[in-house]
Amino acid sequence: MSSPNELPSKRTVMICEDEEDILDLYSSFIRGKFNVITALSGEACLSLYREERDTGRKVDILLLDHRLGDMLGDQVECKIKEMDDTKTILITAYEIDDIVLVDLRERECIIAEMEKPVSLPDLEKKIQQLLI
Amino acid sequence: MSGIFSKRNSALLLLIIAVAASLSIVSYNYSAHTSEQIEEIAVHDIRSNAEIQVHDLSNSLANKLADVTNNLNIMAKSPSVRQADFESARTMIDNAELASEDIVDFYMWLDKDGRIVWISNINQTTYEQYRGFDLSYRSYFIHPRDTLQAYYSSVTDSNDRILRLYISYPIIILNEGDSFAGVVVAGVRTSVLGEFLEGQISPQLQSQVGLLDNRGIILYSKDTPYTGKNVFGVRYQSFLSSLDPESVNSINSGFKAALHSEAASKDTAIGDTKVTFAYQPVILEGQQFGVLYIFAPHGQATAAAALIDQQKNLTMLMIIGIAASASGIIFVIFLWNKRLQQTVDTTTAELRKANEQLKAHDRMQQEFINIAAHELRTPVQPILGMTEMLESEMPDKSDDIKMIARNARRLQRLTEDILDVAKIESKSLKLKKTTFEFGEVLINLPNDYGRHEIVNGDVRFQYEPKEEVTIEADKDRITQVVSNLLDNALKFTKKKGTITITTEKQQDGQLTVRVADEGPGIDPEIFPRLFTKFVSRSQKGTGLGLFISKSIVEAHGGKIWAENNSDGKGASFYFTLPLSSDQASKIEGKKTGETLS
Repeated sequence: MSSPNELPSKRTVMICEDEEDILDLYSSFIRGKFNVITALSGEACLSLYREERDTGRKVDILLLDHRLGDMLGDQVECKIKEMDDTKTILITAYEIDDIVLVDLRERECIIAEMEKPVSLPDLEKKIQQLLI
Repeated sequence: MSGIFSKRNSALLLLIIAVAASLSIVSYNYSAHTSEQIEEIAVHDIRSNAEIQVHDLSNSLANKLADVTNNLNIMAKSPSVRQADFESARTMIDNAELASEDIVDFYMWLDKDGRIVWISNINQTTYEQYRGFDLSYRSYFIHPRDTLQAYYSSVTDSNDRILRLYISYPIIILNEGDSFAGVVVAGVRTSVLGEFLEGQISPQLQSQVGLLDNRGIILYSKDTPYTGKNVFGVRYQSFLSSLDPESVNSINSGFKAALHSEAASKDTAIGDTKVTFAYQPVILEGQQFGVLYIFAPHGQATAAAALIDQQKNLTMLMIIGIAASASGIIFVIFLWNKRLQQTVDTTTAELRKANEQLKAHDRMQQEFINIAAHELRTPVQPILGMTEMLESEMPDKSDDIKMIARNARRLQRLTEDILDVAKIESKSLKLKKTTFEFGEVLINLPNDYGRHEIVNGDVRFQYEPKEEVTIEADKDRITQVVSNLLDNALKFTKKKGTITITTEKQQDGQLTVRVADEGPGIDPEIFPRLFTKFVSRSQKGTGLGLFISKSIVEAHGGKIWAENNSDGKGASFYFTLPLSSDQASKIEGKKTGETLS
């Protein structure tokens, strides 16, 4: 769990992933281009998100693992959607049913989904596309 | 047993019994009514026939007796008789007897003293015996002598002990002041009269005929003991007393009415036999001679009614039998139905249980695949990711890093293949079908094959479609199939060569895709197992690609096969897929057009 170094000119990406290696991988790859906030659980993600919002800092993109240790990613993303209009990319190693994905998209809880293992350049490209 | 008779079944059974009972009652009443009607019609017919017959008989008898009285009248008024011209009179009397011998026993001429002058139909010896015989005491002499009127006797016991009816006419000498000169008499045997009457009756009616004189004395009856007896006398009434009083009254009132010149008929009974009693006065020379009557039994009507009764009883029995059979059949059907229902219930419960087990099994399988997917994909992510980072950060170590990346991607491909096999074998492989142009598949390939370019050293890839082909399929999965086949072709086209993809629309609305290479061809040893799991001659492959490809193609309703090229260079893999409905209908239209032309 970490807070970003203040780089006002950069956009903020929050990463929520219960696998620490993967969390480090994603954050290491994009840290130079974005302000990065990391969370190892769903609860930590929601807590950090509220903290950022309360201090007036906006999270532009949320990279969210589907199956977190304490809860499912869709619970987190929909709660965050209720708080703000942050764009969430769901990243999953699971075989999520299409019906669930369509529902999440229709409710605008997520804006895109990617299947693990993701290519890091592809991940960055997707973030850049969504920030336009 | 109580299970068989559910409320619905019991109601149905009761309904059938009620319907059968109602039908029986209706049928019984209808048959009884019909029987009565038929009997009534038959009785009416018998009554009508009896009335007609007694009327006709009366007229016939009257006519027959009128012939006799005419003869007597002629004889009584003939000059030969009046003038006692014996020879002429005798001849005339004999001739008259010959003319009416069917009814008349004899004619007799008596003088004014009642002595016999001549008797017809008699031999000379007998004549001599009776000539001059005094018959002046006989009514048939006394009455015309005293009244100078014709006389009709009742049954008379003749001297020869033969019962006869006598008709006599007075012989009157007009020129001497109506002086009485004797009588001419006709003797008619009552038995002959009876034969005449019996001969007139239709035998089908089986009627009994009888004749009374105008005083009620029986002139003819088949029951000869009553001949000569008065119907109101002790003897005949004694006979009638054996009948029921109503019948006695009916018959007596009928005789009385007839003797008062009334003609009618009435139904009565003689013993157990119903009869129609018809009577008619016999009028002779304007006066009532007597009464003719017949008893016409209702035998045919009773027989017809009895037949209807038999039919009625048979119908009743049949309805009861049918109802009993129907009830039995329904009982068996209920029993059978109950057993079937039990079997169905048991089977349904078993199927439901099996279905729930299958669903639980499916859920477990899906959960297993999910967990496997997570556990297999997750460790690949840091390896691939770190490799990508190292590739960008350490370009001088690119060969070593590429080796790591290559193996990481191989591991990724193996992971995906194993997951696909798990989905195929658990029948949970789902297709997301869309309509797209087949060429888009090549653009989506990981290696990004162009339409005509070098893909690996001297190996060239070629795809030059003659026309656009659109298919209806899961684009990602078809991309996976083509990728597998191209990777396969690339692996075995080690040196210079060309990999060619061609497409061809088939008349049956399918698209055939061919991937041809110029490699060594398919090893005959593995040819039969080519599309099974873990069959590969490559060190790089997982041995699952063709198995997965076959499953994907077959899930689309297509088929996949392979053959070595006819020129001995390389192999070709084929698979079919359904064309989009637009293109399929165009082919169908073209086929129809060709047929019509």
